[in-house]
Amino acid sequence: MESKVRRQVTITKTIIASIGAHPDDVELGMGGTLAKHSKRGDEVHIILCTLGIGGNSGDPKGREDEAQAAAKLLNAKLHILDFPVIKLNKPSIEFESILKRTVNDINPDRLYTHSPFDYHQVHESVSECTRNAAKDIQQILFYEVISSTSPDFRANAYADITDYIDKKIECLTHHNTQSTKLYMQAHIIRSLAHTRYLMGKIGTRQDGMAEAFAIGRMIIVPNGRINQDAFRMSSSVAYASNFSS
Amino acid sequence: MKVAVIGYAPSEILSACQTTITSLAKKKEHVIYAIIAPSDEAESLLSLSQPEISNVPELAAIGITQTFIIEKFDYSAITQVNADAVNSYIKNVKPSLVIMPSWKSPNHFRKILARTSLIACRGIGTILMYELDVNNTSFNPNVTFEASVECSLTLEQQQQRTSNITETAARTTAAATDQDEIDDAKTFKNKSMVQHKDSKASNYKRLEEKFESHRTLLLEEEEGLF
Repeated sequence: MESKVRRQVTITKTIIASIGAHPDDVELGMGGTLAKHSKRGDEVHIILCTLGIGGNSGDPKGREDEAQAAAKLLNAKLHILDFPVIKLNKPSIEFESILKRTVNDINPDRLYTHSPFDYHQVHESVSECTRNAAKDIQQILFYEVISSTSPDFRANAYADITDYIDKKIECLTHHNTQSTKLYMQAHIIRSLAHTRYLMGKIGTRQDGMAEAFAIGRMIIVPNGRINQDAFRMSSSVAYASNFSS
Repeated sequence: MKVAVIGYAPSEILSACQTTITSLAKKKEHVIYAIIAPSDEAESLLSLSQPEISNVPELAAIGITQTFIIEKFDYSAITQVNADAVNSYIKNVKPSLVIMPSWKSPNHFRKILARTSLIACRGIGTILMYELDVNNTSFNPNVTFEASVECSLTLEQQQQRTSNITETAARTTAAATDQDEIDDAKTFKNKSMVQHKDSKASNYKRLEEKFESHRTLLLEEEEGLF
């Protein structure tokens, strides 16, 4: 019954899910794009994998509050998995199945996650688990996190966030425990966004700002949603080919 | 949404994007243009002598509103003159989406045309690339257009039709002058095109064409695809 209700909603409203390993990753990587999705009326979900173990990164409760505040600003529903961070240092079937359940419940039309090309071991394992857990999702895009995405991340999709950069920065200011970090500073965020706009050659605005993505898989059906059963049969093959090189 | 498809022959566009163009053209909000820069060899093979704007029947049949033909495109090098010629039509059409050959294609014509077109398409939000040559190991398709089409043709008719398109593409691809070259070129397959049998309904088949995103601009059009 639930799946039927969800399918009806999907037809009229785009459902978006974005997965972040840590509380500020999603906002850092694609806060502007999520704000744009919300403005369009899309249903936006943020899946937060771990709250950390405290210490220099901030206590888990404080970080949860920060994430809730940022999600509220983005008009997004926050799903906190609170998986032990120590177990996220490498991919696991256990985490993959938790993630798969959450993704299936949301049933997004498009899923954003960390890039496979990321120095941070937790980001990397979240990316791999997401790819395994989301084989039925038609569109998967990888976002970059300025602090850890590697030069192998090759952007081939962009969102123009010129009108949403202030919202993104406002979201990041909610993450007080991270506020002293260099990559959280407003001028750094603006600098990357401006560079991405220019390097992407996506427009001609003098003040243009963008967030960059790498497409993992994007299936487009110009005349409606594809037959899911038929899609599932071929998706694993198509998906594998995208990562073959 | 306005779409511009760039190729050096109509058969090239048919082979690479027919399903995508046909399915896009079914919606009134999409207007599709073709920009063709024939090589001397392809031009003679295709008898495309009329300059500027032309109504190419096989392209009109799949939903292309208007075809622009660039005369005397110089395939010996990437030049600003070439880029300006492509850009004059791009400026005229103002597309949100441009579909062009792979810029890393081992095929000389495709590579020159694609690299020229990239210069001409600065500021265009979305550029998708096709490849018909299986030898292009740099081609990494990540955007798939899918369509279920009613299968009114018999299997033999479909195979004959595919064969005809491949034959024409092979001739223009190789700019062939003898049968051996044509035969060699016919081994080229449309790397972008895959057909599936639809498990649910035998009178429908599911076609997909794969493209590589050079860049895709997300969330721009109200009724956009991306």
